[in-house]
Amino acid sequence: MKLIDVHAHLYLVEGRGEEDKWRLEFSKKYGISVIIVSVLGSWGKRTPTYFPDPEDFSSGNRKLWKFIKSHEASPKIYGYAAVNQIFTREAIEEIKKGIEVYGFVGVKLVAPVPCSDLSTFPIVEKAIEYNVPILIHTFHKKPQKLWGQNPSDSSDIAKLAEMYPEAKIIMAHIGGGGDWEYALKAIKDNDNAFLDTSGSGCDRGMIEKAVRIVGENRILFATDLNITTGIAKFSEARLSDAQREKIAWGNAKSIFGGVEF
Amino acid sequence: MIDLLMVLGHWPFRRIDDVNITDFIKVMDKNNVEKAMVININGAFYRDASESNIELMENLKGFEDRFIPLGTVNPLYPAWKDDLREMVEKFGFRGLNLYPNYHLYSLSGERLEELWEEVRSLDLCLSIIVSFEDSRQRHPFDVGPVSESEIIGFLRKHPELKLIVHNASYGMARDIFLSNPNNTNYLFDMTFFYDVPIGETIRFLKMAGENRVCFSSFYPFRDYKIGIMKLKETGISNDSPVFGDNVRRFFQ
Repeated sequence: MKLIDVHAHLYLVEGRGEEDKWRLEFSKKYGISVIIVSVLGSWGKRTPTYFPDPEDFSSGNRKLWKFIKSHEASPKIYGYAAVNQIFTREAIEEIKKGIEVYGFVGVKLVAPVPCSDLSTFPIVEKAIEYNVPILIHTFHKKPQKLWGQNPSDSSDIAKLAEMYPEAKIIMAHIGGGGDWEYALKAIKDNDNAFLDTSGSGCDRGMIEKAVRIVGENRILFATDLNITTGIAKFSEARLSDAQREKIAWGNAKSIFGGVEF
Repeated sequence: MIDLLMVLGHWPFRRIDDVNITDFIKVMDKNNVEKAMVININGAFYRDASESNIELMENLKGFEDRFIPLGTVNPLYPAWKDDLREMVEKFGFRGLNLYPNYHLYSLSGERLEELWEEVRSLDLCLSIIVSFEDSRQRHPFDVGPVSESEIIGFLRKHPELKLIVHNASYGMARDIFLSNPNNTNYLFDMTFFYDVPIGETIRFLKMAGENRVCFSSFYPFRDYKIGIMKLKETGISNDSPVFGDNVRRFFQ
C-alpha cells in the first residue's frame, strides 16, 4: 500500500543531520514513498521556532528547495512554504515564491497567533488562489499558556474553515497534545477541515475514533517528528482496507493537486 | 520477551477498549511476549485499594503463568499491613505498585517508614507509575504526576529497595538517573519516551545503559507495537536485556 506522509519535517541545520538522515531512512524502510516537508526556519537558532522573522522563514524554505533539488532517492520530497502570518506582506511574497519558483505544494503556518487571528486571512486567501492546502500547527484545547508558542486550537480551525469553505485546511497532529477527543468534535461539521494522524500522543483508539467522528475522508497519514510512533499508531489502528487506503494516501491525493503519487 | 506494564481495570477519563485478560493474552501472543507485569488501576480509585488485589487475582485465574501481578495498598488506610500480607502470602504477588499521587501521601513521609520495613521483610519489588496520561490532556479531576524530586529523594534514602519507575518522561528519567547513577536497584520503562524523537531514546540508552531500561507496552492505553518499534529502531539487538533479562534479574 502507498503511504504518503503529509506532515514531516527536515531540520537542515547544523547538528541535526543525523535526525534528517533517520527521517529519510525510516521513511524508506517503512514504505513511505512521498513526504511533504516543512523546514521551520532555523529551528530557533536565529529567531524563535514558532515566531520566525521573514529572513528566517525565507531562509528555511530556500534550504528546503535546494535540498529537494539535490535529492533523487526515495522517498520523494515535496515542500510546504512555511510562513509567519504576522509578517503578512512578506508571508504572501514567500508563498508566491514557494509555489511558483520552488514548486511547493502547500502552506505551513507555525504558531505566532491562533489561526482565527485576522493576520491569517490574507494567507488563506492566497492558498485558495493557488488551490493548495494549509497545514496549521494546532494544540487541542490548549491550556492557558504554552511556552514559546501561541498555537491554534481546534475551535480556531473550525472558525477558519467556516469562514473560508473553499480552503483546504489541515489541522496538524491529532496526537499533538491536549484533548484530542474535543478536537474531533470541534471540527466534525467542517467538511473542508482535515486532520493528520501525527503527534507524540498515541492513545490507543485515537485514529479509530477520528474515523467515527470526522470520517475517513478527512484524515491524512502523517508522522511529524515522531516517525516510528506515527507508523506504529497507523499500522495498529483497527481500520477496514478501504479506510486504511484513504488515510494512507487516497485523501492526500485528492487535496494535493501538485503531488505525483 | 517480557512486557513491563499492562493495565487492567477502568480508567475513568477516557474510553479504552479490550481491557480483559483474554484480550491481553491475544495481543501478547501476537507480539511474541511470554510474560507481562500487570497492575489493576482500580487500586488508585477505590477507597479500599486492597479490593483491587482481589480483583486482580480473580482476573488472572488460569493465566497465572503469563503474568507478574503487582498489587497495591494505601499506607494511610487502616489495616494496610494485613492487606499487604494477604497480597503476598495468600495471592503470591511479589511486587507492590504505589499510587502516592492518588492516595495523597509523600514517599518521604515518616509514616511510610513502616511500609518500607514491611517491603524489606517481604522482599517485595516496588513500582510507581509517574503518570497515566500525557499531562497535556489531563482531565481536571485527575491528579498530577509523581514528581521527580519524590523519586530522587526516595532512591537516595532507600537505595537497597528495588523500584521500577514507569512512564517517566525522557527529562525526568535523565534527571533521576543522573542523581542516582550508581544505584542498580531501579529500572525504567520507556513508555513515555515514545513521545520524543528517537534521538532522545538513543541518547538515554547510551547514557543509562541497556541494563537500566525495559520494554513496556502500557497496553491497552497505547498501541502495542509503538514501544517495540521504537526500541528496535534504536539499534539494540533482539536479545538485549531491555526485552526481558532486566526484569528476570529484578525478580530473582
